[in-house]
Amino acid sequence: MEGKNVNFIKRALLSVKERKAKSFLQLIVFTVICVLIIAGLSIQSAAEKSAQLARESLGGTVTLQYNSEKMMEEIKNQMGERPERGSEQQGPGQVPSPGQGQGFSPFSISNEPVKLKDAEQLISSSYVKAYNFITSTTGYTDSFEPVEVESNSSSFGGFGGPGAGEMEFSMGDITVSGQLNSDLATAFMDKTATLVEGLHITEEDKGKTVVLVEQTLADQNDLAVGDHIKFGAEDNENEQNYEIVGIYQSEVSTNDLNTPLSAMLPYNTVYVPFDQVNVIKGDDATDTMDSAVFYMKDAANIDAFIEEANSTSIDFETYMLDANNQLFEQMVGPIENVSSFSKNIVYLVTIAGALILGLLIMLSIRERKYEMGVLIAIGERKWKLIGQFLVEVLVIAVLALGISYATGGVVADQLGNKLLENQLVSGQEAQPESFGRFGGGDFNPFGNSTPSSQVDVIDEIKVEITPKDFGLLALIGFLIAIVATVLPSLTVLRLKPKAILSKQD
Amino acid sequence: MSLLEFRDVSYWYDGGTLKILQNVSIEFEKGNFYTITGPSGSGKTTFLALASALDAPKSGEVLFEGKDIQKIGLGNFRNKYVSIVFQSYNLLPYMTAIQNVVTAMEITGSKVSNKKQYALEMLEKMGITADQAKQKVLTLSGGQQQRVSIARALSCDSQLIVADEATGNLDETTSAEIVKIFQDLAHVDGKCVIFVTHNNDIAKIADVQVRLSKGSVSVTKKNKKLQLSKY
Repeated sequence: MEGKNVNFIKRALLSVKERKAKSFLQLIVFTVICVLIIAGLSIQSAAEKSAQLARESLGGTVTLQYNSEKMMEEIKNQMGERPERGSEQQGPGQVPSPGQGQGFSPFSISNEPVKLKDAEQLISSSYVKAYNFITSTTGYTDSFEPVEVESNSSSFGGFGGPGAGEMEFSMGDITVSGQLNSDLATAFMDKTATLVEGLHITEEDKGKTVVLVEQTLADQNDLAVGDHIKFGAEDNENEQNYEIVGIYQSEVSTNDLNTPLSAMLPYNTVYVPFDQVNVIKGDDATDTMDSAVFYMKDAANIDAFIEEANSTSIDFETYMLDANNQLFEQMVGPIENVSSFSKNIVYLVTIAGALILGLLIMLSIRERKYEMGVLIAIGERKWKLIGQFLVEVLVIAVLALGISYATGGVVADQLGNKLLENQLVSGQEAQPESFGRFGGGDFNPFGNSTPSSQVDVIDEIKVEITPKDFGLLALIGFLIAIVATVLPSLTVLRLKPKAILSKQD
Repeated sequence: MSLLEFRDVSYWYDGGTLKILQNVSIEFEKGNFYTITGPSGSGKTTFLALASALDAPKSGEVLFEGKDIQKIGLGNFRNKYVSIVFQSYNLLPYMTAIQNVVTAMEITGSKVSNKKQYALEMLEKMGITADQAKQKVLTLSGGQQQRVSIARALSCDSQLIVADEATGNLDETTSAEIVKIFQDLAHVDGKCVIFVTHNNDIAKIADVQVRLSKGSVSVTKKNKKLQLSKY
């Protein structure tokens, strides 16, 4: 009984072996289909992996901040509507405009600070490993001497273009950076600053008048841990006495600095608990911050975290969650195009492959009507004839899968990198000349523009066949085999052995 | 009870305008060598197709051991109860002689344990050597291929064997040998052999000669011991 049930498998194997030319033709067609599909799948996987690495290289951080797109629109509107205006008092939420003066229109932006209660809605997310609240302001002091900018760069000019001239600026003495945890401040995370003495500011320091100062500043003023310094807003407003709890060293060389303002020198940045900045800013700033940074347990969770955040009561018309999306897009843009193209390859080849193979099998079935008539006349079941054709194609499919596994990696790697190269070339050709303004990056009115040179666009992908890709290929391959075989084979069900054999005779 | 019976069987084409068989009734028994003769277009092939369940009658019944073969199922009937030998042998060209026989045994669910050995014995009985049995059938002569097709039919051990012009492509000597085999299947092995032919010499030696003409049959019974010596 067993032999009776599987005889069509034996017959199929024999047929594949004995009908060498036709089997070889099918093998070539199927192998080409499989190689193209595995190339497409592998390129997609490699692109996903590259995107993930890019995401990880940018850090698994998400920042809750004022919606910068809205802010840019406000700038545009104000620049268009207000041709001339005198200088304005800088207050909380207002952006310092470096070009204030002759020939440059000042603008004011209502940069809505992030509310503490909004930020606190996100800290309990299961995706969050750590978080930091950041806010900063300009500080004024009479109790110590800030480090001065060298004379040749102490004046500010050249930004505003004709008429801007050179002029002295008073933009405060120091930058007061409020942190919930100072070890999570960008400078410390980037290793451009290192704590050399004392302790970092932590969440437990909330409400305390404690401060971290830079070593150069400390040396210049003979300050040490345990000493006290005073600083506050302009005209000694909201001035408080702060205890130095730590001294850090900035690794940024003065040669790297291009600031005309002493307050913007890294040596003149002091770190305090974030709520202390709000004290300096005044009552309006209570329980607010410039931004809240959330560190993910896994960079891959960024999207899930953002989705989760969207279900909270935070007003995402006003605020936004930024996961370095612009930089990320810059890095992975070309590779995503390649991924998209390769996805189309998979769809196209799957459909075209099934059609081509289906036609080949249909022709083969037409040629083999006689054989089928004989088998049906002997008493073979029709479904077993379909089974025989299916096994024949599956045998070919298995061989094709094996060959594509052995060769697909090389093809995919070559194809992927060639496509990426084309993307990079076409991307460069499409870039307008004016794109280079503001250093070729994103202009940010806060001055921390991100030149594209800082972003390493992914220009190479390492394409490898993963077990997952191969599994998917096998699934697609078998589906193609089944569809391409079963549909044409349905004609077998209509066959009448007498008609076949009488025509043959 | 007869092994196979046609009861009021009619068959036509083109919606009844072309009548091939009209109310044909005839019985076939084990141990007899039957020939079906008749002029071209008389319905010999249709008759054989109905006897071997390659087709079903338009009206009437074909009974096997008293059961309507349509109730048995045409495919099931072909699989279990009948073996067919064709004029053009109808062997599977990509197989050897022995593979053709074994394939038929597997399809029909032969209970023989060593099918290959049994197939070889059947082939040798039909005059095919062991070496020839291992060759692709297309490398064999016409007579040898017909012997292979008979061996295939015999290996399935059906009680009913139908043959359609089984000697039509063979020379006289080989034909005589093949006909002798069929006669022996009937007379020695006790099978019911229905042999469609247009050769009167073969018809003359049949136990029962069935002649088809204008849709009806006439039956002539002969002496079983007659044998075809040469023609």
